[in-house]
Amino acid sequence: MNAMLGPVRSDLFLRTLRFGPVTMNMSLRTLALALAGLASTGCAKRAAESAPPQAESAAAGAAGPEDIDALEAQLAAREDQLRALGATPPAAAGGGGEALAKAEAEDRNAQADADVRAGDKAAKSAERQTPSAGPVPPSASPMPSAAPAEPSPARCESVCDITTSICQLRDHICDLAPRHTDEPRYQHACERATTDCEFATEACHACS
Amino acid sequence: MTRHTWIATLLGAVVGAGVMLAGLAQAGRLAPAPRPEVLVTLAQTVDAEHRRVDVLLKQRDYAGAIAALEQMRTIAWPEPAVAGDAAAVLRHDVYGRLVRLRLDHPDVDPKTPDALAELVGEGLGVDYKAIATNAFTARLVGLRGEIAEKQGRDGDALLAYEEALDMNRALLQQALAGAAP
Repeated sequence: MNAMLGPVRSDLFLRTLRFGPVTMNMSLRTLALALAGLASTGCAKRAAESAPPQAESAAAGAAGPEDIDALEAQLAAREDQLRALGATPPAAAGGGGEALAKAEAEDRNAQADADVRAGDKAAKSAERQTPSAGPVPPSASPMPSAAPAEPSPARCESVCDITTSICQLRDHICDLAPRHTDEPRYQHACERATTDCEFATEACHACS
Repeated sequence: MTRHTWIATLLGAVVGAGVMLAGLAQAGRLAPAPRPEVLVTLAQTVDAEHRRVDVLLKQRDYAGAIAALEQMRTIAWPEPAVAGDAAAVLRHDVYGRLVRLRLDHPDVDPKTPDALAELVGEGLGVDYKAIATNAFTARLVGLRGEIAEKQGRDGDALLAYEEALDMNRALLQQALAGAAP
């Protein structure tokens, strides 16, 4: 216990125990409450940190009707944003709505981690080299440099960079399919990736 | 409640809390607070190294670029408990660039597909799925698929590609919603 409380806290604890009854009661109560609070805060924080995304989703799933209404309203707002950009959310994309809901959850995570996660340096690094699955050289960005006033150029660049990555992954996935004609999952994955690539391309074109 | 009972109760609470804290600390579940100065230093180091690689690539010195990134591999990457998830994202960026170069230039200091798979695994780390979705992790996961293809493991390649596609889909939705991907 001494090791956990530390020498200063132990001395303070002993001193308050020895002197003045009022001081002793107040100090002990304060100390006990502080430690109990610290312990419960620590547990709560770790539980929140260690909760996997699935648990988060489950928690969202277990939310009350009011929460679901709010989420649906947010979802509708996001879909309006997509339409405003000239892109229709893919209904048959094997998880279009799921992806939107996932984005909602990730949005919240991203907001919390945004300042730490990538940082200015990572952002600079992203400008330097577009991360993608395909062999795109850093300077060979096919992304448009100009964008309309409403969607910001940086946002359009992000959308188009991601589109490049999605379509490169589509190429990889669809290259696998002919080698596995007897396994439908390869064909399904190719179809889904193709839908994603088309949707992303529409979004990129709508932006630029 | 008498004063003695009060003292006994409070002492019990204090001892109980202390024992619990000690237990959690010993179990490694009480991570120290992240140290931003470590992250800033790491980010500056990585940025400087990327600039050096840029120059080397401009000079078409692919061997030099690969060697520079290999050197970055050897640094002591800080744990998330010290520098947060951002350190892992920076590591994914460096490893992603290295693996991309190795795949695009297989004649330079050749590595087997198995060695490349090991490289990707080392870069991703065991808990990369716990990190918030980002483009650098998505790229490295996609590269894992390419390497699995080279190993003749098409099933694993498909899984990796789909995982990377899911990440990119989420990033696209974030970008369309106005959040930074």
